[in-house]
Amino acid sequence: MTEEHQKKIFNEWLNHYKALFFKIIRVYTATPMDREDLFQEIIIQVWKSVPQFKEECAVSTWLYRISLNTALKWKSREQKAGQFSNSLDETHHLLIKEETPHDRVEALYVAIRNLKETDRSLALLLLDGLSYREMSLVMGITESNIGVRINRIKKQLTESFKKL
Amino acid sequence: MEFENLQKIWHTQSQQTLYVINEQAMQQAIEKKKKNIEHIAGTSEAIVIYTNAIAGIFLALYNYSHKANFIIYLLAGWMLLVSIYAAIHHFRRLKQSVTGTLTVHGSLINAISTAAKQIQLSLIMRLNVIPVTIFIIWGLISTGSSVILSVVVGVLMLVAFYFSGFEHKFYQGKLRELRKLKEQLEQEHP
Repeated sequence: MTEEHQKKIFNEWLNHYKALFFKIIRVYTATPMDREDLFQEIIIQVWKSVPQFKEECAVSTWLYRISLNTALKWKSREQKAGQFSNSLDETHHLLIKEETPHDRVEALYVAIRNLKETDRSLALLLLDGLSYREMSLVMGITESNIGVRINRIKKQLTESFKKL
Repeated sequence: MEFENLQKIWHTQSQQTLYVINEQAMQQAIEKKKKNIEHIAGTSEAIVIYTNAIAGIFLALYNYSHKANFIIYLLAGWMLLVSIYAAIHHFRRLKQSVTGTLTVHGSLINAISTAAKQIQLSLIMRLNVIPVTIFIIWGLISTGSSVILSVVVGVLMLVAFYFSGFEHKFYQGKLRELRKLKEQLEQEHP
């Protein structure tokens, strides 16, 4: 694949699916600095993945996998400080804030962030309307496992949201 | 009904454009990452490979051009073997790793395997300080160097052994975190 072609596909994905990336970074980070950091990690992994995409699944499934894999293994900036630093200090602002989020949406994100890291992924996929089968393709666990967890997550989310 | 209300709230996001991507900064970030030496994935692996190779070659050549000491040749050979071992380990790890295309569960399993190999290498490199110390002190004593020099070398190697423990603990922490995530994902009931 030529670099031009890779760039074209990458830009198409970014334009079409940027909401997906923004949701994931908001689920896994709470501060603007962490959002910049995680967003950078995700877009770099997405860029690298373009030549590997063989259309064996939907683009959205592919991007969910890459973004959630990155987010789950990503460590917070505070944890990274004092260990090997990467390009954090040179992170130029990739994300320019345009609007203030609605209070209720922000409260829902807080409720999601109160879940365990792996449950956050399922909550996000559930709210985005993915089927159990699609969730299984992303997460790599059985549909029955997903079913059990989803019932628990729904209950936890509604309870947590009520308290906020 | 309540969860359906949460979904309605969630879907109001589609009417909002919270962020705009700074395209220029994004391109710079990607270019920078591409320029990194990606064929050497781990910094510690690169350090082990190159320092042992350079030190082994330097020792062998220096020893050859001065009063050749058999023990120093042994040490040089040992360091070159360590470098080769680290290089083989590195390429085996790269061959097994798959970038970003697995399911979340598969990716965690892969990352755990990589972290476990990293721990294995860091432990071996830590223990490697012992034979290197023995060779150096043996070489010093056999050439009639002062005992004080041998003690100084021994202390320095002990310090190196101590500090290499921090790197080892870092990888162990990373492995623990990954295993915790995998257990979370596999566990159906809390």
